[in-house]
Amino acid sequence: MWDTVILNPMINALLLIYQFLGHNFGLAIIVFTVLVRLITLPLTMQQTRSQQKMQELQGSKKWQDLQKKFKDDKQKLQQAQLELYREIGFNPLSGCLPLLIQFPIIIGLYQSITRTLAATPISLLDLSKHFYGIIPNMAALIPLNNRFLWIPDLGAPERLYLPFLPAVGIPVLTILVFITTWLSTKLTTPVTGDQQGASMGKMMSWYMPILLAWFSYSFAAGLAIYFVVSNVLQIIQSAAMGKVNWRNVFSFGAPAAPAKK
Amino acid sequence: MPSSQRLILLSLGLVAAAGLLSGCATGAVAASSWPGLSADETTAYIAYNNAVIAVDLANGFERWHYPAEPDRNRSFYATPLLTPDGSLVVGGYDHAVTILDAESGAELWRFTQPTGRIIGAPTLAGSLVLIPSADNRLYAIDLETRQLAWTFEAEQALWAAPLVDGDTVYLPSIDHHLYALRLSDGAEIWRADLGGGTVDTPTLADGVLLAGTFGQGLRAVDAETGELLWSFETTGWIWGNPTVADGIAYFGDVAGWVYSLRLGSGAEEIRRFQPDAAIASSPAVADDRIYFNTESGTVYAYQASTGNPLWNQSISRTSRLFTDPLLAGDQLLVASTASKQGDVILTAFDAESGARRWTYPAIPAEP
Repeated sequence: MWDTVILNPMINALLLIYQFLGHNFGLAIIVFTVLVRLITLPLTMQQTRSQQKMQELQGSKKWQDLQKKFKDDKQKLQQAQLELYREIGFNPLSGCLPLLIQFPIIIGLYQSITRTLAATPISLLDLSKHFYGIIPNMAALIPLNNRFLWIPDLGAPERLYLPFLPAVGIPVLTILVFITTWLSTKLTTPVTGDQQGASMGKMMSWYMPILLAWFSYSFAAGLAIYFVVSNVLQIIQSAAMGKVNWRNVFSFGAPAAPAKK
Repeated sequence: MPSSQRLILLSLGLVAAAGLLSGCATGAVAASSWPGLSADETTAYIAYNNAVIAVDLANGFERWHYPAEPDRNRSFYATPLLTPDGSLVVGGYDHAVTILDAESGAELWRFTQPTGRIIGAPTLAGSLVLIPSADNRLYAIDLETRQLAWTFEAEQALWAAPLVDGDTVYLPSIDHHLYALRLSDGAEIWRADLGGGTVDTPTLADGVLLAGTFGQGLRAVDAETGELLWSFETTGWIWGNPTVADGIAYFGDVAGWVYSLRLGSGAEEIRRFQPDAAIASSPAVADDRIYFNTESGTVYAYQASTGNPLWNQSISRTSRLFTDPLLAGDQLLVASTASKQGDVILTAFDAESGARRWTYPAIPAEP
């Protein structure tokens, strides 16, 4: 099921793009990421709209009144919030679905990258079973060119060794993932009037970059490329929708309130 | 959804993702290759996962294992090479070649120059040992002086043992080429473009090299000139190269077909049949019997001349067979992958009847 729905289409799409782009796997990952983002665009737009609706709701008088009224009774507050959601026809889960859909895509992408690069006999043997027979001469593409820019092997964690510092591997992609994830989280985290939400937003702006940087440090460089490209696209998409809060970049506390016009 | 709940959900998802990614990256349960197996008159040597193990051919008892304590950073899959002076040469995924005393398993010395995994087996040529590495290089080391004699660099990784015939080394590579090198200094004589990667030692029969490829079938190359003589199309990739007996080449492909070809100026197909699963190893042939393993964990014996089935045996439901079956005296040795600690990795069958003689590790008797 996993192979049929996620892995096989991803592997074959990656290989087709690789073939089309003149055997450059790094470029294939970038193009593939753009395509994946385009396919999941309706979902991410839904997530953005849901966040915006939640933000508006949290700034409303009704919401503030509930906070004051039930400030000593969390259970009743939660119940009242649920009733309010129902009343205005808002589904709080609608913002989570797109987020959850990202996970199988990330895992599928990681698996398709490592399996396609096939650095071990078992993985190469398994790879042959994922090819679609209708695509001619796919086997001739193997082994893939696993070099990209300064990265010698896209299937392994990336480190840059400088001539004057040969003993220390600098994880350039990990640093890039950290910076772009931090920027993306900062720029696209919506402003909330809710105190709890604000502190969560602050936590997220560090939590996500650290976690994704750890992934990038430990796993295939191809996955780190996916993260960087994905973050940049997220920022571009949010900017295009007018949802970027540039003031947040210079705020190291909770997300800053938008400037008054 | 409140931010706190969203954060918890996100955290759980990321932890699950991390777990899945880690599992994929480290292969916590699954090994990244299959066992390497060789044998002398009394002992089988199996290289698998974190150990090289010597097993008594008479009863399946362990004689020694190396290293004494499993080391997570070291794993061995290349077929161990026995030398006439009683050494055992084993290549590792730690990029090193270790020379052991075959009798005791004691480490004699190590060669640590390669920068890539040693996946293919070392080959002996006089006092030289030729070691293919995934760093694209073939290393020739002199066993007597323990010095590097020469290296040759291919375009891509080397996953298969080279073949030595006289003064020539035939080197298959995943880079689609079959190289012919001069044994004395590693100089390239010719290279043949096979159109697809090749990951097993070519078979030499009457001056013709037979090399299976990924997607391009079986290729026959003139050993003298490197000229492509003929091709035979197969349904799947060929991982294990042909075994030739009495002018007939026997081999399988990963689509699960077994082929018999009569060799001459070209290849005349005698028969093909499809047992039950992918075939990634070369068959063993002796006394008009052909033995081959399938990925599903079954070993088959057929009569070579007629194609009639003789016997078949299944190792276990979870074992997969990718290693070449090996004839040792009147026994057929079959190495299998393990899905968990304690699984059988070596089984000895009576080559004639197919009766199971012993396993390593031994299967506990049922109460």
